[in-house]
Amino acid sequence: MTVNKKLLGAALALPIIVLGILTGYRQYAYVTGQDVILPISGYDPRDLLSGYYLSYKIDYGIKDICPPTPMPSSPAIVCLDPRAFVYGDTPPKGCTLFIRGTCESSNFMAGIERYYVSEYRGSVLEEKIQSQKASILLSVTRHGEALVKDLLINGKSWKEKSDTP
Amino acid sequence: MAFDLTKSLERWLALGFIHDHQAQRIQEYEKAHRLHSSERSWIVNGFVILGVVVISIGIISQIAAHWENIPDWVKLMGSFLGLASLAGTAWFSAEKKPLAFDVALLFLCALCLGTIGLIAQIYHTTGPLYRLLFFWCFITMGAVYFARQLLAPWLWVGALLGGFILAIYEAPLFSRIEPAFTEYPELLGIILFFLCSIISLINVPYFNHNALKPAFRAWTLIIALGALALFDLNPNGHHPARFSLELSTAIMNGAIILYSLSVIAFLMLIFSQEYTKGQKIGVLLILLSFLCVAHMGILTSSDFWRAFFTILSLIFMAIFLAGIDCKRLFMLFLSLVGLRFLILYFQALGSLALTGTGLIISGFIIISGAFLWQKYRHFLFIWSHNLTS
Repeated sequence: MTVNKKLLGAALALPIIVLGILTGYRQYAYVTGQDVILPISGYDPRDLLSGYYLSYKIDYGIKDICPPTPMPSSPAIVCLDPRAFVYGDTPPKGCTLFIRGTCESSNFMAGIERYYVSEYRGSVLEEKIQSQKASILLSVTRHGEALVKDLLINGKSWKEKSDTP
Repeated sequence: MAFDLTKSLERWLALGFIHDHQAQRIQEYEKAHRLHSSERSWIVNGFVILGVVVISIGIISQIAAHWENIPDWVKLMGSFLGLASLAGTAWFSAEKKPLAFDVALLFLCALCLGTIGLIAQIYHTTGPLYRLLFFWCFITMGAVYFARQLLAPWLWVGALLGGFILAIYEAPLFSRIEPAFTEYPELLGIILFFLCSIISLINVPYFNHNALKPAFRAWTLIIALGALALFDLNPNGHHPARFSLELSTAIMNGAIILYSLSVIAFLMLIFSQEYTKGQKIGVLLILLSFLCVAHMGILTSSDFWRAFFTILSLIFMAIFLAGIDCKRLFMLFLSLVGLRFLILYFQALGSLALTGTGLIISGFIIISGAFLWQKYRHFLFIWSHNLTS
């Protein structure tokens, strides 16, 4: 059977190139973004660990975040400097550092609400988050994209803490 | 060049090198030897496959057990190497080894999904499932286009439709019309049915010689059956006044326009294709009966009318499938007609069927149905085929 080799080559290369760009972009955001630490809390202690992911609620330090709207899901922006919240795609004037996301059922979701942990360390970490001060270290780009760099327990990386009994 | 023993023996006999009984003994020996060797190769191959599977499971277990200790860059590198190897395998086997080509494409698509998950895991990102499905469909679109076997395109179309359904309910883009679909899920069944039908009927040269079109056709049938079951057996759909939420006029108008456009596009496509007159009438009847079942829940709470139009719809679909020579699917649809008749019987005579007499009658109906099915299915297929050709 004859196959258009040029088209086939493009079709086979497309996923590799796109995934490579995605990885590169994530790594770029990880390295070049501004570091921000925000406190977290488990929003449902009975189901804090879902699978191998630790789910949590981020405290952005803003009181009226995601006020009720008729829409079930709306794009929104959390400004970290100075602290503010707005619906829409444009950050408020004078905002120097912000995170883009959506408001879903009165919760601000920016795709950073889960943290991967191994199944062996999951229960230990869950206990520590419940009993101690937990926070996440974020890398925030100037376009408003945020990535989780680390999970901190009492200001130190959870990996350091879990090694000590 | 392959050695043909029979021809050689005939030639040697003609030349007088060997006698009849010698030729016969040689043939008997070779036959027994071939059987023995093929049996041996089957056993050896079986053990080799078993060994490869065991080794693969062992490697996967080792990776899983030490997953946490493997540096992220090694995981990513491994994943990209795997993608490149599969792409290379597909590239080199494209013309001479069709099976290897399709297997490589299937694994490439699967590994793409795995790599997306790996990137999400390493960078701790999360997002809605529909976005993942759409992204995966986009990057594997080209690979699936070249597939010759149905499996990879079928999975791809399934992911695309799954993404579409999730997007309707979750994406901010559709948040204005989402209440219409929540209140009336039948609408989604109708739109998906027409969407798949339209795509599987489009006559574009680049789209006609690959497995994507059959994949859309397969999903059209699956959606048709799923939607019919939803319209027919959904207990919430029985109530004529079931709309608890007041939908705005704009939402309903939008939904009706979308709905009408899909029906019109479907009809235009059917009548522009090279189908026989019988087939065109058949499609029109399928369409009408399908729409009747879909709206019966709003018009009446009668079980009988919904069952009647479901059976009618299944019969029209079966006849149409016979007309295009899909014998197995024709049999499937015919058996579904029988099944729906049985459900109708239990719906109508539910209390009677629970008694001893009712169960005896039910048993006789099932046995008679099976007997009639066995005896008349081929006759019905030929009759249906002639009807639409």
